[in-house]
Amino acid sequence: MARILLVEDNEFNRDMLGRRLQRSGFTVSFAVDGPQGVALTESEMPDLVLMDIALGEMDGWEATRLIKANPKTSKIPVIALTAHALAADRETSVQAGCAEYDTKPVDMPRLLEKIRRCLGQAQSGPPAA
Amino acid sequence: MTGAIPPALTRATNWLMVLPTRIYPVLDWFIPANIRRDNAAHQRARMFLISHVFGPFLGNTITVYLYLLDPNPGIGVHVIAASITAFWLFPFLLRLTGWYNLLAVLSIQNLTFVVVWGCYHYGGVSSPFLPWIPAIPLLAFFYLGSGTWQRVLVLGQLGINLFIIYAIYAQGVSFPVHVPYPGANLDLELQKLSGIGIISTVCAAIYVSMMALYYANIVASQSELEREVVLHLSTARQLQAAKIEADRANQAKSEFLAKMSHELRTPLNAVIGYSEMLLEDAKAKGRDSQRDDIARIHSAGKHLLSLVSDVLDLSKIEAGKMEVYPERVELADFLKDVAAGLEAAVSANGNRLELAFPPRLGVVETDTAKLRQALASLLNNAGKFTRNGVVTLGGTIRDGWMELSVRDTGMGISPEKVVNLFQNFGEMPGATASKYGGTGLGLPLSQKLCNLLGGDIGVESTIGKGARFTIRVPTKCRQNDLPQPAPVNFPVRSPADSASPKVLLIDDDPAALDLVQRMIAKEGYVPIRAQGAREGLTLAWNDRPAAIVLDVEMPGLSGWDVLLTLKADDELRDCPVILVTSNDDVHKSRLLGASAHLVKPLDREALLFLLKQFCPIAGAAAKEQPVALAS
Repeated sequence: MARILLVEDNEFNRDMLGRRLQRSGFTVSFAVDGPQGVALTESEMPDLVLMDIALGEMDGWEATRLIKANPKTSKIPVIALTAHALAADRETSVQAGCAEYDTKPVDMPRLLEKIRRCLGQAQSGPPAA
Repeated sequence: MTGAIPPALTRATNWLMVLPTRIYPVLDWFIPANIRRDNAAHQRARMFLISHVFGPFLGNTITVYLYLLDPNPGIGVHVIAASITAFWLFPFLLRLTGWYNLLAVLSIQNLTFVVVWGCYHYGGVSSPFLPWIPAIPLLAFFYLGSGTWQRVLVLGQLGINLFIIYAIYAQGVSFPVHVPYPGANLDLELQKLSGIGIISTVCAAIYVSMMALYYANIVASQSELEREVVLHLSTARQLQAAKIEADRANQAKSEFLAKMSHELRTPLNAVIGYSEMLLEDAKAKGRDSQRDDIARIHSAGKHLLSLVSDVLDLSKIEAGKMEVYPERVELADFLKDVAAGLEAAVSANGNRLELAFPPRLGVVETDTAKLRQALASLLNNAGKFTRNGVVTLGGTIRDGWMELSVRDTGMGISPEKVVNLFQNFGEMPGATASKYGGTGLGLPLSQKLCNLLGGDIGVESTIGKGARFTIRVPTKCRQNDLPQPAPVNFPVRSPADSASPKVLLIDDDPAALDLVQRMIAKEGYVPIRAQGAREGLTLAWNDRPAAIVLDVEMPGLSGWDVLLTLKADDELRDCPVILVTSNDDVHKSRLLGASAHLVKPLDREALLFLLKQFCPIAGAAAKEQPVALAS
């Protein structure tokens, strides 16, 4: 059972997205802001992080950079979620180290597809190098 | 009567002032074109001509009086008559030769001569010609202007003339008491001479007053002109201020809308998400009646969200914040992809979606997200207004333009509605979103998106026979619709410049300045340090560097302000600017005219590579092969 950490500051969105992910068969844990998201990623070692970008003080990109900078958590795929569908946001997300990018409101089937793809890549192990 | 100016006198002075302007066309005939081009010289030439046309009339009244008085006039009066009459030749000489300054000096000399000659022959220190002496420098300054060399020239000329006459007098040559009827009663004759004195004084007074009045007239009209210029300038300034104010208000409106839209999206996400969850539940448990209601909440939520998104997009476009990201894509593939995404929406009313384009159209470079949004809006509308019909998506590429058409067999649009079709509903009288079935913003937004891509949308329609919307955009769209400076411009530098190009470094941090200075000094550039924006601008103006390395994050005036100021300056515009920032504002920096953009920490190789592009060192080759030239 894949474990997902959902970093989202809005209560409704956290509850809704969390429940929908649980229904789809994932184990979900929650973080309400960037620092907590970074801390929980290290302590719980989830299989994937869903990262909201508009998070107040520390935004999702910064949190992602910190996760990627930590050798312990750097392999965990991060999917960025933003409310604006700007191409620039996608670029920033990729530069911050996000594996994927999606816009809100989430299109559940599309998001699930992206989650499965990321998990599949992560599980196929590190490339022989 | 006393105190008030007699109306006759007022009329006379008015007439005196206006008269010269009436004869401008005649005067200008004498003035060569090269003098007419300079306004001040033109005015002086006119004064010169007025003086030379009217002056001799006044001067010759004295000559005539002398001839009448003297039954056997001698050389004295003949010379006076010849000299005064000679003034009438000057206008013609001016037209013939164009030597204005020389003629003016000659004219002054002639006047000085005739006055001195007259004094010498008629009355000495009590001569009737004396009142003309003050007229000499006055006229000289009128003709030549009152600069330093003119003053020296005129006063010198006058001085030399007076010195000569004094020298003659000092030689013991006494004044010839040249009075009519020699041997007659001297007192009586001198009395007659005083008659000439009165006439002469009156003539000189009239003459000088005329010139002074005319001069006053010019000064008055010039200051009026200046007042008008000042008035125009202040009007222009007010207009500019009003425009800035209006732009600011519009900007504030757009920002407010953008913020509101963003705030609205978060709760809408919840509405849509929860209703979607409930919908899944209801479907799973077979609660049909509940399912329909939830489906309505869900679709209303989505409608509201699309409205909010459209408002956000429109406000972004209006605020000039919508950016264009061109991508390369095979047009036919792209169209198929768009059609696949909208198949369901179009066929909802029993319509059929047909694709009318060949399997390969060619690769285009455009912002596909925006083009997709515009096309989707057209296809959605076509599906909405057509029942059991056909919606056709077509595409062609011709002469660097792609034409994408959406044709339907629906109800059509009346001509008067076509006119308003592309206006925001806020601008359209009496129209509501519901009347048009959609958000009412779809078409205006689509049009603005196409404008952003460098094209437009057109529409043809016949009532009852459907409509055809055509998007026409360039196959290769520019980065942005704003006037775009060349991303990397390599200005041509003269060899003298490139021997050791000066590079201006602007940064508020002395340590950063040290670092960059060391980096580039080793390579043969001459670094100029500027700590802060103001010093940077001053040095840019003074030293004319070959390139500028500019830090963006500075307190007070930021690097963006410096960049804008540099690019607004005619002489510094072409100087390449390399921006250094700690965040990634590539797009902004290119839009504002930076030639290149580097992210901190500064990469030495990248900086040197760029500098080499912008201002190559003349002896660059010399670095590889050492030369014994310097010593």
